[in-house]
Amino acid sequence: MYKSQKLCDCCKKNIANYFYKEYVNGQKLDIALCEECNANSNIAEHYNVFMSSLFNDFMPSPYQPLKVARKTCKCGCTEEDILSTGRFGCSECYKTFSNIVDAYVNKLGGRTYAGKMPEHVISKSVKAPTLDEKIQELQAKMNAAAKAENYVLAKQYKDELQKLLARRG
Amino acid sequence: MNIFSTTVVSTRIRLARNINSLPFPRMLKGEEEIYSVLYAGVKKACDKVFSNDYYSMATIEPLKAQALVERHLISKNLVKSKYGAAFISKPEDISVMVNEEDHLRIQSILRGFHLEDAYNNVAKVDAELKKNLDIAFDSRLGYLTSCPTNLGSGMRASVMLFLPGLTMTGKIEALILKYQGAGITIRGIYGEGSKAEGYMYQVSNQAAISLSESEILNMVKKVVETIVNLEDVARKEIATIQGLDLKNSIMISYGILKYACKMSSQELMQNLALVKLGVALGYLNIDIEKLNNLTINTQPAMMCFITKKNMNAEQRDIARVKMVQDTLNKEGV
Repeated sequence: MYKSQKLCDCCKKNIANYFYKEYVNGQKLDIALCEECNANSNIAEHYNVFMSSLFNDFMPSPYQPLKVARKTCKCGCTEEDILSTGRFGCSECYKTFSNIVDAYVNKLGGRTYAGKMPEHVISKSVKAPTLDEKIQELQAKMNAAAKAENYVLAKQYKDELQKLLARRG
Repeated sequence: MNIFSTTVVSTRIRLARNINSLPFPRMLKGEEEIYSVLYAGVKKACDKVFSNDYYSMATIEPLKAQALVERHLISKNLVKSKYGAAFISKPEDISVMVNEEDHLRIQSILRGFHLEDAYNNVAKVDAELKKNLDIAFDSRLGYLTSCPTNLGSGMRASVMLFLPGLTMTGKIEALILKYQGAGITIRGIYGEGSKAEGYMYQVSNQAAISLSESEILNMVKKVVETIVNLEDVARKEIATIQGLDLKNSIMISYGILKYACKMSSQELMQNLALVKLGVALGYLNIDIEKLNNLTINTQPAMMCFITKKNMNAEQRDIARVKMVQDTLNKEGV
């Protein structure tokens, strides 16, 4: 199920972790991309736009499945499966399909969880990140979003970053 | 009579939880040893918090399962789930569904308006479950659920309301639209939208990753309080405008309930709703709780369950009226 040892078809250097099957003029085309090339490729860009349009309200939508097989999670769930059912397959899916999750979170305004934490999570996160660490993390996220041409997300990170920089003075 | 007691029927809180790395129920394929570990973990937690009855969906009698659905203790989805199971507290105020849409659905249903109490019930079970099971959680997204609309606290707070005034004055439509944009869903329970049979509606919070448990409770509480006060105004309005005509309709419904020989579930719902309004307006003196119980107890499977008889539709229609009349006679009306 996982083709983790395949090299990236684009740079031929890194190990691929994104697998696409496109049908072009009736021909099946297998494409394997690494993280970096995936972020830069047209396929990913086209796909990001496609996904965000689907996540309008996460209700059963007039979704027309593309003739494309996407990434597969350990549980056997594919992106197509998630988009057509509106349901994830396991807790790991939230990492495997982080692009879908991010699109959904952004649709809801980008705000994150603020409720009660389970005990084991509280004990792990005793040390809260410092302001500098938060700034560094946001800068990295902003750069990655800009590189992936996800300008809406990049703008959100930039706004948050400016608030933190203002707090640092 | 207190407007809350004649408007708020019940309060329900439910939490959605899943086990880390175990495929969500819709992806499960029959790894029996996993289920036995899961059931054992849930049982251990439930036993510590409440004495319970266990039901496996693979072996439960269909009629019994349907009766549990009609009492809102389990969902229709759970009954369809091959690996579904439920732990239900003896007083039937807490139930834990295993392998419904999520691995765990913890819920508490209480009569009347008791958001905090219902939340405390589910929170106790949740705390015990976390001791026994590796619950899927992400610090950014909250509890990880099969459907992303449940991300965050995984909590849905819902309150069942009887709203004849707002329905008859046509104001419910505007309220539904108003709250839709404010994170609250209002929907008819026994029907769709404003055509809610028996004027019964459910008010609940919508998807919100960023809202904490206490924020959801406060939000739903404030909205329900507002709606109940609007209902009070609307009831006074219809009583003033429709006056004798309304009272006449109510008394006709009361007469039908008292003297009919058979009645469908839908007819009962309509007549019962008007009689409840009659109680709220002070025209009739009947315990409204007993009328609310009739709504549940006269559902098809519940009637067979209570009378311990398998009945066809006509037999049920006859038994339904008898059940209503017994209740009214006991009330001395």
